[in-house]
Amino acid sequence: MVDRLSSSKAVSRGGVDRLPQFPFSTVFTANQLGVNPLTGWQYEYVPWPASVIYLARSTTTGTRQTIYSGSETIQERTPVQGGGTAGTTPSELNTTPVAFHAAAGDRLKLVIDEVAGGTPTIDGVVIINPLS
Amino acid sequence: MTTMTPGNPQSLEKTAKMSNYVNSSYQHVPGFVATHTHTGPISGQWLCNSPYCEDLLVDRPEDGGPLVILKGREPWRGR
Repeated sequence: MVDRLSSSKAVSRGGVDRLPQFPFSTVFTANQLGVNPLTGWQYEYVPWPASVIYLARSTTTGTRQTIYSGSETIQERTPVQGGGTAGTTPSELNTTPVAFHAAAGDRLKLVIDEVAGGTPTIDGVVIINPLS
Repeated sequence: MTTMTPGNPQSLEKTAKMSNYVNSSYQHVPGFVATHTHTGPISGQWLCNSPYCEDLLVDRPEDGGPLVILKGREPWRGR
């Protein structure tokens, strides 16, 4: 992995040690709408072209999410994968990642709704890898 | 008029009833995490703050409903 990143063809802008990532764990109230865990993150506005990987998992099946990157809608309103454990960051072993490219200056935005009247916890992680 | 003094049996009885009411309503609400309301055919409305509840129309565990899984006490974590 390190060898691949440090090769001449895939050198990250700013060096291999800069892969900003943002794990989060958000508790929802019943029927809470429009939650964006990325609000206030230093890299909420991606400063350079980047490859973005996003994983999210909910403790219930009663949550819906929409993913935006700048003016693009990466994923329309769809259910968040359930079966998560509160406080445990999802792994790519059993959570399908959402992967996309973000342009420089794009705002990464999530809109997560709770629709089942429960109080789930959504755990997730965003990893942005600068493109050279 | 009932005098609410510790020595009055009526006031003690009333306090005990209120205490039971509060305990039964918040029995499944440990800590200060957001709660949701279940409505069961036997239990009526009761509060819960488990993050794992999928169905809200169920009774309390004491009345035959499903077990409430508490955060940090998940059975699949071996605790």
